[in-house]
Amino acid sequence: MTQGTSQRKELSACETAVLIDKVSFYYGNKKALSDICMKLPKNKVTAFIGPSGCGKSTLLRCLNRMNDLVDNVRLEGTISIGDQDINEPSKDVSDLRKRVGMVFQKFNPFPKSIYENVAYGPRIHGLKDKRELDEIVERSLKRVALWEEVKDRVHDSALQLSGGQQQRLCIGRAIAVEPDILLMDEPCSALDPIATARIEELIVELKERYTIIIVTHNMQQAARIADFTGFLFMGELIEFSATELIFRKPKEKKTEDYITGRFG
Amino acid sequence: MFSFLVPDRRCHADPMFWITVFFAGLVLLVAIIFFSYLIFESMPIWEQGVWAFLTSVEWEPAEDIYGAGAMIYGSFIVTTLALLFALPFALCGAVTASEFLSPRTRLVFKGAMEIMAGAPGVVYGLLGAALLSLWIKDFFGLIDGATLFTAGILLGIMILPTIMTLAEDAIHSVPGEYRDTALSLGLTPLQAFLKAVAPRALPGVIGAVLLGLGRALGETIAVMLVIGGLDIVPSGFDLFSPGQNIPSKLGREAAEAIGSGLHWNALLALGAVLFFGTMLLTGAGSWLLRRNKV
Repeated sequence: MTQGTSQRKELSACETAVLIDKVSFYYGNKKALSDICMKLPKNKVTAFIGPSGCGKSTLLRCLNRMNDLVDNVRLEGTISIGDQDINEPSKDVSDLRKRVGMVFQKFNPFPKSIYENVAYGPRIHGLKDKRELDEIVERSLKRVALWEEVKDRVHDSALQLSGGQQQRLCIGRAIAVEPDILLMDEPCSALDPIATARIEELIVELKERYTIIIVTHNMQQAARIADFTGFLFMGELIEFSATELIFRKPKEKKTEDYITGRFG
Repeated sequence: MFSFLVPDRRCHADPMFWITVFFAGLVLLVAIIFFSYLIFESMPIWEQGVWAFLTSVEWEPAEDIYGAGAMIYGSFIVTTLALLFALPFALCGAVTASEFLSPRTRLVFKGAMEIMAGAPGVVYGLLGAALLSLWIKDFFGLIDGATLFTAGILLGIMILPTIMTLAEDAIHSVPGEYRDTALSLGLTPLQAFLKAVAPRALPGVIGAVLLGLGRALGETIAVMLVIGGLDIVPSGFDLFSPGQNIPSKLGREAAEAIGSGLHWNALLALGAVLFFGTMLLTGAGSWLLRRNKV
């Protein structure tokens, strides 16, 4: 634990997975993000916190270009994953999204079987071999700790699962396409505390293989699971450092006010 | 006695309450009268044999022989043609508007569709008689452009905007998460639509189609102007022959037969057939659309 803690404290000691450089983002004329600079560390859990409308979800959705679909938006600055600028026009956005998976607030399995949900991504990307698909499904479900619970009924409808199970299935569906990075947009906000605890446990386990970036409304959740936390307020990144520092010794007054519940 | 009214008795003292309820009750009463009239007045025909009336193609008011076969056939053919013609345009338009247009363009497109959907049938009828029937006559080398085919295509054009805009609503109301999830797995927008959105939107789209069909089935004046008005099932089921559908028959003969004997009963029986047909279609359509929203 002590070793882990000392490691966690140093952002500069970590390998960078995503480099966000002077990113500003506009919806029409409205500036939603201004001049964000961040290095998101590899194989760590990074949380974005902040009050509603602070831009944390917008920032998250910039990382797999989900904002492309919104009309009349503009991004300035660069976001790089590996050495590649993800917004380069030549870049295939489907490829990007294969590398950067996403889990949403509302667990939303497709109305198909458990198996089909997990096999969905690989299948769309051209994998047909039944044995390989079987392996992917089993591996993905094991990684999200769902395999033992469902292995006898993988061909039953995914909608029969409980909320927590459905969300784990959605995470499994996202990792079945072998991403490097997992984006999570308030993945527990629709779940009860017990299911939330399981997902949090899972997120901590998953960081061994994936870089995890999570948006959360729940500060305790960030404190429990994130190695690093960024606090956003009105489109600006107020503070970004090791989670412990943010929660124990925030440098900025605004961060402290938010953490201590004076607003938000 | 008034136990079906709100249980809070405090409003029972207010005359405004009773006036409100009275007018509402009147509507219900009219519906009941309307419905009973249709059934009772067409009884003499049903007593002669339901099946015979529905299948016989002879309609001779002079000899008091009435068979609805030709009109039912005409309604069926014209509606089917309308559907076949409208469906590809309406569905492709709906998908394009919902999935591939920017929000602003989408609204312009939808606005145009809704204006078209609201245009009175008679306007379509005039354009159909003036343009469409001539084009069809020339294109297929017919003697006369007033045919079942012409009526079908005209109805198709009429119901196209209705189906398109309702189907678009159904597609557009599929929660964004389904799209987002599919896209986040690396699907293209088209794949995301086909694999994730379309299956969800299907009941609503079918509902939209049924409502469009309901309109097609009941449309009178536009069809009257281009269908040809012959009570026949054409030999060889020729689509390019004049024909008759139920509303057009009613429109043509109602004035001369009002209240007079079996002819009137027969027209009301036709009306009842039409009524049940449209009721079934629109009922099923609304049900599917509603289910889609939940």
